[in-house]
Amino acid sequence: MEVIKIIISFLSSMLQFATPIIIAGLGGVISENAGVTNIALEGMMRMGGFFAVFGAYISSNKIDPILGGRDPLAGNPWVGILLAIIIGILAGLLHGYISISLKGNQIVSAVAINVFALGGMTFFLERYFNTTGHSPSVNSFMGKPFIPILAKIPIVGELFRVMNVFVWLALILPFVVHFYLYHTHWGLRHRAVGEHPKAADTLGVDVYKVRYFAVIMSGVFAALAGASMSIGQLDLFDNHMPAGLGFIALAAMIFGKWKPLGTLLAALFFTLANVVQIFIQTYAPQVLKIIPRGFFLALPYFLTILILAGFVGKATPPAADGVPYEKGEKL
Amino acid sequence: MKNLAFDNINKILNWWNAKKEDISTFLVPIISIIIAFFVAAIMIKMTGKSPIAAYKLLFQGALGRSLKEFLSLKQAGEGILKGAILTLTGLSVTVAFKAGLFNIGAEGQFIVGAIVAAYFGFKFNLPPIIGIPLILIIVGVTSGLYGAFAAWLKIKRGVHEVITTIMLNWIAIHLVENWIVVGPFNILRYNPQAVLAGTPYISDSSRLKPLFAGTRLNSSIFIAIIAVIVIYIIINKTVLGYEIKATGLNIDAAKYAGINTSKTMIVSMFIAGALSGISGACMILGTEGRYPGVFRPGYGFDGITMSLIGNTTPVGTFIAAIFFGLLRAGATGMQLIGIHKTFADIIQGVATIFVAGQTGIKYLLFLIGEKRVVKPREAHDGSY
Repeated sequence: MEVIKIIISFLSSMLQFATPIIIAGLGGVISENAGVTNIALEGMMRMGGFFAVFGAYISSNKIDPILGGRDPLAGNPWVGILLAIIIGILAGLLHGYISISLKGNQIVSAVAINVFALGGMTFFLERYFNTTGHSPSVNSFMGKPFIPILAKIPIVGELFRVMNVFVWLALILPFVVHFYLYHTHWGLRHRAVGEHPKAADTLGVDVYKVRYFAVIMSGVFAALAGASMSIGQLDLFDNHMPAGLGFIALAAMIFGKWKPLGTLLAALFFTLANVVQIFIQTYAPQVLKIIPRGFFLALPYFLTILILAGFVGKATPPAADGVPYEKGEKL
Repeated sequence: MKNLAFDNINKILNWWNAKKEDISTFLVPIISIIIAFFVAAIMIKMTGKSPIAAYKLLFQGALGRSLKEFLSLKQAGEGILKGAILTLTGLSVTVAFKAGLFNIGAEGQFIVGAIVAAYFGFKFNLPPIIGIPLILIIVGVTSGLYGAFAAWLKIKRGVHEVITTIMLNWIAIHLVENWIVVGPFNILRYNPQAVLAGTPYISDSSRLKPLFAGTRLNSSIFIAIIAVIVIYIIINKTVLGYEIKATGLNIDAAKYAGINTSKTMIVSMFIAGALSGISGACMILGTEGRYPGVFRPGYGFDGITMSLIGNTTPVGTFIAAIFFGLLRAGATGMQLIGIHKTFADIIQGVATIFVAGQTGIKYLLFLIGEKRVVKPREAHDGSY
């Protein structure tokens, strides 16, 4: 019985930790399959994370009886999701405008977005919550199962109890994106634009339109991933968020060979390393004397290098990934 | 009379048309920074504070309240010190850029350099004139190899350096933070009564001492200036520099011309890694005195923006780094009216966004002469 409980709690921590990585990784998959690299996932997650909390906060119209001002716990977290989506669209649009219309350097643009997110969100945190640590607790999805009935099942119910709306999204979206990319004609066009934009253009596919769509969706996914941290795993925005998870998502995308289901598995695998580390810390701390924590934390990145170098399988990006497309260019 | 005026305008336009390509290269970063200040001013205005008052505090915080205070370097010293650290990581990115490589890994190389400096700074107790250069050399080689590894993977296994360097950053961060600093090289191993997290303090003789009383500015700035000069000479006056530039501009043409492009890429990434590592070492030997428990200054990532805003030239990088170093030091002064010091990141971020979209700015500049489509002219197109 004790063992089953540990297994269930192991699985539920894995699901929780993997959620932002899966969602952000899918954002990367969508964007890069259309030929626009996105190493700004980290910054976009940060923006989404903050604005989700902000949305949940401003939707409250009750007055805090003790402190005055808005009562942060009376807001609506769905407004938070909405605001995160809007900010994701804007961030994606910016990255898209520079990468697609201006044909600027996509990596430079992404680095700039990451830097801006770092300073910008701290600025907003101070502006609206008068702190540079973390925002007050808002009404969130933390600990709110999306399907409460399932949480009532004995034993397994424990697993469904942590499955809030974001966890469900993380489990369903990979299949949705997979279906879109590989089983619809839009998906075929989408991948064609990433592999050979010239050919796609010749066949009448609007390369720019597809790329804009891809980058904007990638911004939305990344922002949702950020929201899943701030109003899913927790109920506040911490100024350290997302603490490198955007880069793990990037690694998961590569480890999953730029495919949605691959990304799902890679994200789960990466989280496994982290959760094992946490469980060892709780149940068998002496193991960490032999294998230090840092090894577990560095493992996902190390494996990503190995797989890219072809020591473990082979991962190849879409052929035109990162190459700006000029309409009417001669071959 | 009228004709003369037209002639003059035509002359100016002709001159502009001939030179605009070069001039706009200089103008883009400046215009970007000016736009960034405007955007940031709007953000300050949104918070109900006065942008003018804020910028006044920023200026005073960066340079000092009076000419006398400026010359004493009491205020400006802090900014110049930050600028020196940024110069080194910025140069690191610049050197790699010249060879057509994107060194996102400056952060990881910085951390490797910092921990190596902390270790040897602690172990060595030599006269500063021998000890410090020796530490810097060891740091340069270790971080250089860490950087060169990414180039090696690119050449041998065809892995794009942007991805490997990102991964190498996090490998360095996790191994150093969650293994070396808390494990084998923890201060508790040497001093069980210690209350601070991190590594033991380096020996007094390994420290870079402040140049004047009342400021933290130390000889890092000289190390940075020497690095700028050396890198300028390497890139512009030596065969190696020529080969690096040739490889960066067109790798196939360089190969055809008989240049060993693999060697060139490895060497340039080695230099890049060494520079970032030395930057980390300057921080440990100068202001920190040890590798602290929590150490994420982000100077490696900032190096990327320094290089880009500096047009990826050594001197440009230096100017950008000193500018943003002063800006960061000055931003601390804005905390008086409740604006957090990460405000500097906003300006840096917005300026870089405009540098990234520079074809837009160039297009507008070029409209002043004739209409013409601007195409990206970069060796690196942003692809993996």
